[in-house]
Amino acid sequence: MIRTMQIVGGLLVIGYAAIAFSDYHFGPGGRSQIPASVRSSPGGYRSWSFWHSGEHGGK
Amino acid sequence: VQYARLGSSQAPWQEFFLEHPGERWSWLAQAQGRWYQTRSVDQAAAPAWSEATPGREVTVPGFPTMRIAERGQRQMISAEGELPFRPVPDRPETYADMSGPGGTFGTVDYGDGSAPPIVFAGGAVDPERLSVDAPTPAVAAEMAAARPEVATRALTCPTCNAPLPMASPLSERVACKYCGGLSDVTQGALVALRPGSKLPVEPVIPLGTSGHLRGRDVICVGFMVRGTTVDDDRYRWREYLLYVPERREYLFLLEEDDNWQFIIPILPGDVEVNAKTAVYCGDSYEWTQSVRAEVELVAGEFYWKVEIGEAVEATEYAHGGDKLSEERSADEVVWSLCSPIFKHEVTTGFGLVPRSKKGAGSAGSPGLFKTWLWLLVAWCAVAIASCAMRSERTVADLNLPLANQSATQSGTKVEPPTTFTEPFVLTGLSRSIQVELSCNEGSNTWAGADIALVNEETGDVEETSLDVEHYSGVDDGESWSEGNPTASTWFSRVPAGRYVFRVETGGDPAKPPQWLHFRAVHDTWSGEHMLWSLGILVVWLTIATVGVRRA
Repeated sequence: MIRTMQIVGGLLVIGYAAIAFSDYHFGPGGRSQIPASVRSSPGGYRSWSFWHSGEHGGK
Repeated sequence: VQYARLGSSQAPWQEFFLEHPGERWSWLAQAQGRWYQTRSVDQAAAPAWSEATPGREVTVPGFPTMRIAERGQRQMISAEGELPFRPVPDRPETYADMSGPGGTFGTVDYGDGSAPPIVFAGGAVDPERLSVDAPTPAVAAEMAAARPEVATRALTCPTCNAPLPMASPLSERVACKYCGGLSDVTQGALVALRPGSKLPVEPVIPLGTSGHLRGRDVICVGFMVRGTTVDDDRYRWREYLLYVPERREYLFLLEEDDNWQFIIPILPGDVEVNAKTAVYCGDSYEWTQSVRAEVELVAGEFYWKVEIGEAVEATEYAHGGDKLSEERSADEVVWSLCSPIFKHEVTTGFGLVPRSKKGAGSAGSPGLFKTWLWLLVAWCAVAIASCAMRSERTVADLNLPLANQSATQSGTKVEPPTTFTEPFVLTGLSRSIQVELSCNEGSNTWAGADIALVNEETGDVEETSLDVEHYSGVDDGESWSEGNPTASTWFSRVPAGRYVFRVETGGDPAKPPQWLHFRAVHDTWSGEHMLWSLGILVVWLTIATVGVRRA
């Protein structure tokens, strides 16, 4: 039993080390991509209409 | 009179019939290092031998209630002097020993069953108060024979002819430590019962080793592995039988997972059991578990006829770090007091050399303590290292514009205030960004922000949203508050690149907070990681510790 305790405890510490050093977080964010045409157009992604036109996903 | 268990002339015990002034008589007997003096008690109701099961209460006039501790069969080996009965050697007789509180002791003598049983009751006698003033040399020799003897008998294993030095004159069974063969001690010689195989487990304390433990000179005479099955898992522990020549008594050491227990047999009559509680010496021990303990392996000599597969119902009661253990079989109930003992106390007491340098360094700590210590030290090292390697760079820190209150009141549709931060460049490994939204305390309103992290080079967008609200006031003279004026979240493992944040503010335009602040920090340490990992680790160690102690 104490061997199981040591193994599982060691795995927990290793898991913590893996997450801490990789700096992984369970982020709630959605991901999307701005089309190249939008990025090269005047105003580009900074226009209000781009974010509210429904053209890009993620929101 | 000299008796022995039926079928064995070994391990005899002596009983002396004593005459006191005033034509009073008593019996003086020695067993397991204790001396008992008893006298016959009239009008005592003894149960039939078949019903004298261990633990059964027996009422003896003039004595506290006693319980049957053991029942068995015996035979008389020899007798001498004036006796109140006609001695018949080798005739099978039955008896039941009783134990009561405060060292009270009794025996029901059923004889050969041809006459009503006779109840004897009395108590333990301090051997220091006994002196031999024998009327004849024969009796003096007999009593001297009952004194402790330290001499070691040398026998050979009938299976493999290996020498088997026997330290205890009370031993009834011997298991060869070389071949594992089990032998009975009969007429001073060993008779093979079954062949064996070499021990798969090496005892930490070599058999025959003398030592000094907790004020007693002891010899390790027996080694036994016992086990139990709980929920399909097999748990095993190792027991060492220690003989104390000076007192002619036995002690045990128990080792499981490097945790050691020092075990002293106690009188069953000194333990009062009520449902799930056992009271001993004024301390209340709570029931923890009952298991069926089976003998898996034996080596060395034992004072009972130990068998592989021998099983008892073992029940444990705990009080602090100490335990009371009851082991019950069909004919006997045995109680013992178990207390923790450090491994270094055992190794020092027996003069054992640690098997490795590593073992020597950790010998002073029980396994549980070491496991807790090393895992928490490892966790601290990870936490400190992961904090120390952070660059912690603020990439955005600004007050956000609030909704246009006047435009809303006039009914004009307005776009929510939107802010783009100054571009910032991330280099090196992918690290996370913590974003934080905060408003003034006591804003009594809510505000929110849709936050997008835009990679200007690739067009990748990651979005999230945060809300803050904080309400406070005074009701009936008592101030109150609820909500949180600060909220945060993470953009996980953001790769290198050129980025901007787009923050679109929301909220109640009619009642905006005094201010709304946005802050983003790259590669900062996470308190969530630390708290969650520490919490899970401590919970697991606690659960496992309870499991280990119960096992």
